[in-house]
Order: sequence, then C-alpha cells, then structure tokens
Amino acid sequence: MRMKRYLYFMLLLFLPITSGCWDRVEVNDLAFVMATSLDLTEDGKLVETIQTANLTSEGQNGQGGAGGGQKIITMTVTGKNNIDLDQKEQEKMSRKMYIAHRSVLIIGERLAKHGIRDILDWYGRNPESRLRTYILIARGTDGRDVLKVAYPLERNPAVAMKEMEKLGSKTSVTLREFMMVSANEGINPVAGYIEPVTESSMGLKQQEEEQKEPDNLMLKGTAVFKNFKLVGYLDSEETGGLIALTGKFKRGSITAENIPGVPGNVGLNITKEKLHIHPYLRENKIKFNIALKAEGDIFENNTNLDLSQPQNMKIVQDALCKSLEQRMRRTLSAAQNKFHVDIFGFGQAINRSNPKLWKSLKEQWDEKFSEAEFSIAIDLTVRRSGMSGAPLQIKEDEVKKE
Amino acid sequence: MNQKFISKQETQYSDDHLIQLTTDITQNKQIFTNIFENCSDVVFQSFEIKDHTHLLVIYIEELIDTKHFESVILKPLMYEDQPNGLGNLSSIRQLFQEQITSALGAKTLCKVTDITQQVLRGHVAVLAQGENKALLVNVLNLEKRGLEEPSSELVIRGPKEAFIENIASNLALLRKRLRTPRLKIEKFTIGELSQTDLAIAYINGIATNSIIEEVRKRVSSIQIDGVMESGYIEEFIEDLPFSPFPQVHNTERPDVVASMLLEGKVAIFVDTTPFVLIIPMTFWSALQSSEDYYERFMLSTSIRWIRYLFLLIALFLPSLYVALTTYHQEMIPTSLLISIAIARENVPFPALVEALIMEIVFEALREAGVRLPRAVSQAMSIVGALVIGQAAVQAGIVSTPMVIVVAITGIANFTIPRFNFGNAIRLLRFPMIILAGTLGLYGVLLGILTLLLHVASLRSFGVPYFSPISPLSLGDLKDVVIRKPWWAMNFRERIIRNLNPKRIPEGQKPSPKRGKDGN
Repeated sequence: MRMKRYLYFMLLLFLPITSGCWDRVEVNDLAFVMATSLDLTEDGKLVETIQTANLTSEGQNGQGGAGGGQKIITMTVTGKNNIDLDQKEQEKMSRKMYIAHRSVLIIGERLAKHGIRDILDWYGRNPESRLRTYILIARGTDGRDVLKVAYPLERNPAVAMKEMEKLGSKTSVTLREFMMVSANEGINPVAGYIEPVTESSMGLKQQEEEQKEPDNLMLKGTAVFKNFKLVGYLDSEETGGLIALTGKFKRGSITAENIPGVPGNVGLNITKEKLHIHPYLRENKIKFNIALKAEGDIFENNTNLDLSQPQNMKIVQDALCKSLEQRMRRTLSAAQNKFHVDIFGFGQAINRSNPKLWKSLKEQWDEKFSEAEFSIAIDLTVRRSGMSGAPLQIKEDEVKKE
Repeated sequence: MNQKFISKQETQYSDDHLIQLTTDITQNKQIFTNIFENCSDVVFQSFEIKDHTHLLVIYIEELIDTKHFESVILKPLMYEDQPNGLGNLSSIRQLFQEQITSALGAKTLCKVTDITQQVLRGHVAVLAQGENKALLVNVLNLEKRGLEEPSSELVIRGPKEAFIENIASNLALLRKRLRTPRLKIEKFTIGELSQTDLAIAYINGIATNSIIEEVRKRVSSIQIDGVMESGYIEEFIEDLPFSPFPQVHNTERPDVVASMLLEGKVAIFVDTTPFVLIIPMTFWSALQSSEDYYERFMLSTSIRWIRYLFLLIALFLPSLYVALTTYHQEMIPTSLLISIAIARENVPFPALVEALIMEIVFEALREAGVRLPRAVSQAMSIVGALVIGQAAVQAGIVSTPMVIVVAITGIANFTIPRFNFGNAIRLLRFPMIILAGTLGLYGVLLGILTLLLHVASLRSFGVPYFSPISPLSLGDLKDVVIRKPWWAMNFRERIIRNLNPKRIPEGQKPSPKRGKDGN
C-alpha cells in the first residue's frame, strides 16, 4: 500500500517532464524580427521584408568592441497573404521567426494607396503579433527601401523608428489604435509617414548627391486614410495642427511671427493641452466650438520685448494663439478641402453629444464634415519665459519695456 | 516496533532495577562493580574512619571537582572529630548538612539504579557498612566553553552573548533577563541512554496553558536512546514532518528566547547544545531578526521589506528567468532580451539545465565553504569565483545573465535571518526551477499555489503558520508589515492566544510636551 503511494508520487513527478516542454524554445534559437515592411508589386503581389537582429555578430561586437559584421539581416519574399509570406520567410531561416518583439510595420506607398483592409487581420489574430507595433507609411517609396537604410544612431532602423514614434511630437499610431479608429464611426485613421533622406550631402556635388544612398530616416508627418486607402499626406506643420486638434499636444513647439508692431519672432514649447469640442447645429449647418487650453514655456525670443513685463507677455501670447489657430485652421482646411475626410473625430463628438443627429448625418458624414464650420478659442498660458526677460545680447536702450 | 525497542532496553537494566542496597558494604560494592564493569573512569575508593566504619566512595573522576570533593567529603569524614553513634548514614547526612554548608544538594538514596544515575551525573556516592542507603553529594564540575558571540545570528546592535553547551548556564542566561518568579522552568530527562536534561521555560500568566500542556505532552512522550542536539527534539514535536518549512524556532541568542517568552511562547532548552527551541513558530517570525527590535523602527521596517523582497527573489528569480527565457520571450523588454540572447549564443545547454547546473554548483560551493577548515576555504572561494564567475562564462558553458541570476539568488538567500528557514527556501528553489523549465510561467504559478496552500494549512502547535496574514489578524500586522515603535506595541500577538494580551501601557509616545506636563 505504502509502496503504491510512493509509486504514484513518483509518477506525478514525471508528469511535468512528459507533458511539458512542448513549446519550449531557447532564446538563441529565435530570430527576433524587429521590423516588417509590406509592399505591393506592380503586378499585384505582396512583398514582405523583415529585419531581424543578427545576434551572432552583435555578440562579437559586444565583446571585441570593434565594429564589423552586420547588425541586422534583411530578407524579402513575395507571396499571396501574410501566412504565405511568413512561411516563405521561415524557409530561409535556421531559427524560429519570432515576431513578438517587432516594433514597426512599414507599409509601402503603393500598397497603402491600394488599400490595407485585407492585410490587417493577421496582425490582430496572431497571438505572437503585438498590437503595440507602430504602423508607418513609407512616403514615395517602398517599405523595403526604408528598411535598407543603415540608420546611424541606433542599433537598427527599427529601434530608431520606434523611438522616433515614442517621442510623440509627430503622429504615432500603433496597430491597435489604427484598428480601433477604423472600427469606429465618425473618425478615420491616420498613420505617421517616414521618409528615407540623404544626410551627408553637404559639400557633395549635385551628381554625387544623387548617387548617394539615403542614410537617414525622417518621421515627418501624417498619412491620411479613407476607407483603408491612403488619400494623402499632412506635412509637418499640418501634423502639428492635427495633434493639437486631437488633444495630444504634449510636446512640440509653435512659433509666433507677425507680432503686431514688433519685428522678430517668439518660440514656445507646449507642455500641456486640454481640448474641448462642442458641436451644435445652427440654420441647418454643423458648427463646432473648439476650446483649447494650453500651457507652455517660451524658449526663444528674437524680438526686443522684455518678456518679464506682463503687457509684453500679453502681446506675445496673443500672437502665439493666433499662430496656433492658423496652424489648426490649415489642418482643418486640408482635411475638409483636400481629403474630405474627418481624421479628428468630430463625428464622434456629435455622436456623443447628440446621437440622434449623428444617425441622420452618418451616411454622408464626409461631405457634411467638409462643409462644417469651426470657431476656435485658444486659452494659452505661458508658464515660464526662460532665464531672461529680454534677449541678453541686446543693449539696454533697445529693450522695449512697455 | 517501538514497544520492542523499549523492552529490550528494560531487560538490560531489569536486574538492578528493583534492587535496593543491602546493609553489607562488600555486597553493595559487588553490585556497583558489576554495573560499572569496564568503566575505567569510575573510581571506587574504600576507607575506614575512626570508628572502623567501612566507607565506600564511588564517583567519576573527570566529572567532579576533586578539591571540592576533598574539602566537602574526605576531610570531614577522615580527620575531623565524628560525633558518637555513627550508626546509620542518615546521621552522616545530618552531619553534612549541619556542619559543612558547602555540600549542597546532598541526599540519600537507596535504589541502585538511582544511585548509578546520580554517579553518572557527577555526584559522589558515599556508602557505609551496615547501611542500606547511600549519601549522594553534588560536586559536579564540567569543563565548559566560555560565553562567546553567537556564530549563526550576528547583530551589529544588541547583546553579543550566546548560549553554550551547558543547560545550567543557558538557563542562568535566561534568568538574568527575566528576573521574575513567573518565569517557570520545568525539567525533564530524555534519552534512554543519554539521560539528557531538557527544560521547558515559559512565563506563567502569559503563555497559554494549552500550549504548555501540549509541549509537556509531546516532550515527555519522546522515546529515544540518546539526544545529541535539540534538532532531535524538534523532529519529534513538530506538527507536520513532511514539510520543508521549520515549524520550531531555534536560536542561540538568550535575548531572543527572553523576548519570545514575553510574547507568550514556550522555550525548550536541551543540554549539550547551544540551540534552544521556541514554539510556536510562524512564517513571519522567520523573517524577523532580533536587531529589528533594537534598531530604530523606521529602519527596521524598511529592512523587513527588503527581506520580503529578497525572499521572493531567492525563491522565484531563477525559475522566473528560466520560464521567461524559454517560454515567454515576449514578456522581456526587447533590448534586454537581445542582450540575453547574445550572451546565450554559445551556450550549449537549455536554460533549464544551465540553471540547474549553476544552482547545484553554487550549493556545492556553499556546502564546501561551511565544512571546510578555515585555512582551506579561502583557496576554495578563489577557485570557485574564478572557475564559475569567469572561466565558465568565457568558455561559453554558461551565460553571464545566469551567473548574475544565481549570484543574486544566493545573496538573497542570505538575507533571511533564520538559517533553517533559508534552507527551506534554498530547497524549494529546485522544484520551482524544474516546474518553470517544463511548464513555464504556468508551472511557476502552480508552484506558488502549492506553496501557498501548504503554508496556509501548516500549523505550529495550533498556531497557523502563515498568521497573521492568513488567517488575517489586522492587529498583529504591526509586527509584520511594519515594526511599530515600542511605545505603540501595546498588545501581544493575538494569534498566539496568550493569557495577558496587554503588554505596554498606551500613551507613552515621547514628545517635548510630555516632559513639561510631568514636571
């Protein structure tokens, strides 16, 4: 009896060893995919390029100190859908492809224009795929060209792109946000766009510059989608307006020129933003009151104003507000007139405050949005004006105190 | 089986068991020479005194103080005037008691076994012709070690004396700290052959009768041939032998014993060992050091939290590392994972095997360090550090992160103040690693659940082991989650169910105002 009990106990000990382990995989048997790009060929086939960290060479680099060996490996395959592409990538690899640490997904311009509706499902379905992956559009080029760039400042371009997005001064959209926004009514998704640029063109002749491969990346602005299709881009300035209009302005600067009666300009860094949108219907026209409360610090003052004087500060504040409003209006007009798509979520605002109205508008929201009117009220508080009142380098009698 | 064992013991003694001394001294001598046959350390010395009374003295030379023996027994018997009518021994005893005050603890016995026992404990037996009684005088003089610093429970602030191998000295050390008649010390003798002294100490009116009664019952029912250390007793009286966790506290610090008695616990002293047992023990008391109560309470509280943190690290770090790197790579931050992967690039073993190798080697180093003579241990530690720390990593046999994990785990284990509790954690680490290596985080969680279930169901002398966390006793958390300042420790731990819960009167918080009011 007792022997039997011990026997059972022993069998129990073997249980984890026999049933476990099946999905065990050592870290050095994995290939960490850092970034993926998806492109469309001219004849309509999907092209996937993946970038994996090359650990073997990094190990040598890490210990030896000196450079050498490639830090990343880039592989490209062509296929029908994501599973097919994955399969083909795996056939090229001695290690298991591991996509849980992928930080960016880059969509080539042609594919983005063609529409990305049919390729996104796999990214939400595969448990290994992370929804926190940033989605980026390669402007004017294919995604694989972006991945080719040997970015100088980071281990690999994927990390660089991830960190750029994280800084948050430009549009940063993850797969999760993209999908959620797509699934919502009254708002259309956007994504950041990235451009390979040539950095070391200084001192090169025109001809040499053209031959030189791009060696840097630039996260510039916003790609606008309508029905999962790329319809256009917002430039850097307009992206600032978009960020302000979606209440995400946590970092970024505005510059006030045209300060009444004073030559020069003033630069401000925004540190806080609170946005309130109030939609209403008047004379059968949709109107929005946009109330924006922001705080910021002055970082540059190229006028002769002494900013420690409240009345001078008032002038600068007004100019800054105007500048910010201009920027927002530029973005609004781009969305209304160029793309005819609501990327800000004004439709959502209507839906929240007046669901009945929204029901009647829903069907032709894009047109209605293009005709909507906006009034913008900005309440800007300057918290700090830096270490000096007037610029330190100008003479005392040049400083305008009042 | 037990029954058989005892009856065998008894037959050995059965002849002398009932034997009383005869009045004939030669016959008596014969009895004792038979008993102490081949016991070369036992001395039989016959002599006559003035009235031609034959006397026989039996003692063990190494156990007694010879000078004391001479002045207390030999001189008065042989040289000084004896009163008339030294007819029977009880008058000799009377004489000793009245005239020679230095002979303490003298008594007469007539059973052979009792006399034998007393002689073995360092008494001198004096027999006389025509008497069926023997006089026993205590002249015990044991060689003993001086008081030293505790070797296993060091403190920076606090008393630096530790118990020694002599129960009488140990009890004196305790009595020095608790000068009250309410400190009760009950003596037992344990061990069929070793006849080891054992004492139960408690404070009357604080410790509950049920616990004291339980200790008495469990201790007196122990049947064993010899007791070499209090560990023997511990294994007989604990509640659940098949548990890695110690359920009886042990300490070599008198201050710890005294303070625990004040909390209503019961101490068991065993002769020939400096380690004193204290019951009941809880999980959390294993994580308390005596210095916690001597240092400032804010510091003590934070140190306790560090211990809790490192307890978790000691128990789970290697298993979490194995589970995460072999099953859940998505949970490790990208850059950390890449560093780990680079370090593991040349390692031929799976992480599980690597972890087991390293942990076992570490345990070997530790064990060797404990047993080795001091002179050699330094050489060994250099070899260990060089071979494992550097050569193994450079040779690509183990990875650097694993060395770090094992080292942190090792250090974490040393932060646990109770050495035997630390050993439980040390032991449990291995099943945890295997669970992690076979079932991943699921296995780790299974392990945690099993451990929690076990610990929560464990009891030490009726007191839940995991209390006051489970069952929750909010009032008692003052000495677990934090260490309250002494003036706020108003009540004794409720979970031990002591008779007198009130400990320190309230309102003693010091402040500048109080002084003014007082004056």
